[in-house]
Amino acid sequence: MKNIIDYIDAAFDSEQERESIYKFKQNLVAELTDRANELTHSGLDDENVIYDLIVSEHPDIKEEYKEEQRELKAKKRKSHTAVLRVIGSVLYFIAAAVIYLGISFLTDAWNRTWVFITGAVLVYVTYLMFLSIGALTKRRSVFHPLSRILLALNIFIYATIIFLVLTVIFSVKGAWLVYIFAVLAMMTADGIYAEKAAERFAIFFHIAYIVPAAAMFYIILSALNIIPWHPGWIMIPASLIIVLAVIMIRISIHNKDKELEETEDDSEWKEN
Amino acid sequence: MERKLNAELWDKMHYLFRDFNDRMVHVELEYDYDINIRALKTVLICFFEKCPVFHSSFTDNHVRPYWTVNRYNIDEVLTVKDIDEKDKREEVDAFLTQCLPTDGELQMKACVFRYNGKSTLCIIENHMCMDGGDFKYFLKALCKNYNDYIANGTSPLDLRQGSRSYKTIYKDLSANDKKAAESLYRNINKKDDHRFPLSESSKEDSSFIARKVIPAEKFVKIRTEGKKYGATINDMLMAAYFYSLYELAGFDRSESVSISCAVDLRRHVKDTENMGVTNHTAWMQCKIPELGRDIFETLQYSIRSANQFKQDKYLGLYGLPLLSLGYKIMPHAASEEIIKIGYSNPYIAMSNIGILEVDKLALEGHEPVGGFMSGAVKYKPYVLLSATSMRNELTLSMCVRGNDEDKKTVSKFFDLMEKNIDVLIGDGQ
Repeated sequence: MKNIIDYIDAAFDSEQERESIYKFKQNLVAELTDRANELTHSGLDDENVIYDLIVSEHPDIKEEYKEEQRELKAKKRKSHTAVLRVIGSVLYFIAAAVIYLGISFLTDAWNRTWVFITGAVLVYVTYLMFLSIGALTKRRSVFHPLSRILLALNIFIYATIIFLVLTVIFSVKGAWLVYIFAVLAMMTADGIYAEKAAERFAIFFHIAYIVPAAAMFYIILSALNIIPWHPGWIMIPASLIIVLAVIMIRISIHNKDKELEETEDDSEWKEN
Repeated sequence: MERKLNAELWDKMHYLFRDFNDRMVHVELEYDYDINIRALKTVLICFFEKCPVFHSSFTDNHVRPYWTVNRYNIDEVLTVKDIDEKDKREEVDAFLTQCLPTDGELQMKACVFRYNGKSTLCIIENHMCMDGGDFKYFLKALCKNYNDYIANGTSPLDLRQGSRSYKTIYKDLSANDKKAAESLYRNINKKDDHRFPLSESSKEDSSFIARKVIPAEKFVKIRTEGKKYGATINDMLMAAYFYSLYELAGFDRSESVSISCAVDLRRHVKDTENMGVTNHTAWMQCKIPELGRDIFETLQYSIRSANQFKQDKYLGLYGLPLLSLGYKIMPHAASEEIIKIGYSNPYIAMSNIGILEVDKLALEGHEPVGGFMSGAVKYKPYVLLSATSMRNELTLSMCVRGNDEDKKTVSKFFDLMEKNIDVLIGDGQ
């Protein structure tokens, strides 16, 4: 064991003894002693080999120490963030309640101010959902569909908030169009997500969304009397041109890649 | 704390093959000297520590399977038996034909049989851990580390470590090739219902390893005569395999038959240094349109078929992304069922494991005087012909779970192989 202790000590020769280093060394000695016992139990009886094997498993002890310190810091930061989030959430709800009650008492429009507190709660829900989306995106791609569903739900919640504000506070008649916008936004956001998360079939989503997006545009523009319902519907089948264009662009990019690849291969061949 | 390892794609695939074979890879190396058991144990322990999958048990979790690393004692891994030389064949076969359960504590076992100052080293390992290619590397590393340890006291730690993922075969491809290879979803192997003429399976069947040694003078001729026809050793063996199969099974001459040949996917990798020991093997389905008028025409068909594959720069990479996707998007239990439907395991296959280099397998300067390596024991009606060469001697082997009738059939097949090889090299009629 003396060898192992020497090895650990040697790694920190140039460092001033600190409590964190002392603790790290203490834990490491215990860990490596266990490891040595485990190897002896396996039947390894050559002490030099045990030492070399353990050293090969810990080639850079100083880096391990730094890594542990980084992990500790990250852990601390994580717990700080969690505390800040809890405090922030409490403050947010207190502020929302104070503002809601203040506005309601001042205006006495209780039949409309409820939209504010409902909106505040929904915004908080979307915040939680965004956190989940971030966490899921970092995980394996099998979790990506779930984060895409959450993203769509988020947009739907925002649409609901806007719808409530427009209907209850401003009494806008065509507020239902917000939901049509929302569907459009869902498809756009999903397309961007697929691209950013490097989803393998992103191109198929882009293509599949073009015609429904055109339909949504058609409804919005017609409902706002920007274009007539008839023959405005033509923009739906016309969107197939965009589909074709996207496919053509994709194919040409693919062909260019292939040409480049062939040129690369040729040059390699000539060099050889 | 329990240590777990990720079950890689090929681990899961070879686990799926449990319906077709016993998953064991076998090797036998004969030495004219007494192996230093203490040194061998030391090397084996170090290798087991470097590659913990060898002392892990596979958990068939319905959602995501994994390996659990176990504690072990080297005496459970390596057995030493003093035997009579006359019993050697029987003892070796009894050791080699055992099957290590996937949920057992160990995935590799070794045995040294000692007799009259000689030793035979036998090792079996679970194919889920590594294929023949890496097993050969493992053996060479074992011998090198053993020699260095005895000669200089160097700790035997020189074994490759790294990722066991199937994706490492893409690492040296150009960006465009990698992109293209990762999109090869289609499976190019077609189902062929032709079967090796073995008897029906029964409860009484037991595992056996049939071997046929083709002497050095013939093996050298296979190489030299093959060159005249533009054929590799693999092509020559394949032609003899096809011809013998038609004769043995009585297939109609006009029928098209295919034999799947194992392809080492490491051909796509320039530097294997940072790759862990694992499986990187796929099948190339060699097909002849009919039995040639003679074996030489059959050889031309074999060459043509093999060349078609060899010209493809993505040889062996087809279907991998689909398998990976299948395992990724579904829980393991469901993906296994789906893959079983889409995957057709070849009934007739060949694995040319290649040369067992005696200089690299020497222990303390004692080169092995004989030996072979073979694939798993196949369950009927599946068969795999393994071919290895040592000191220019070619060993053909077939591991089958069958009965005496099957033993006779395989023996007859080997006789036909030898006869047809003789014709190919100009020694026959």
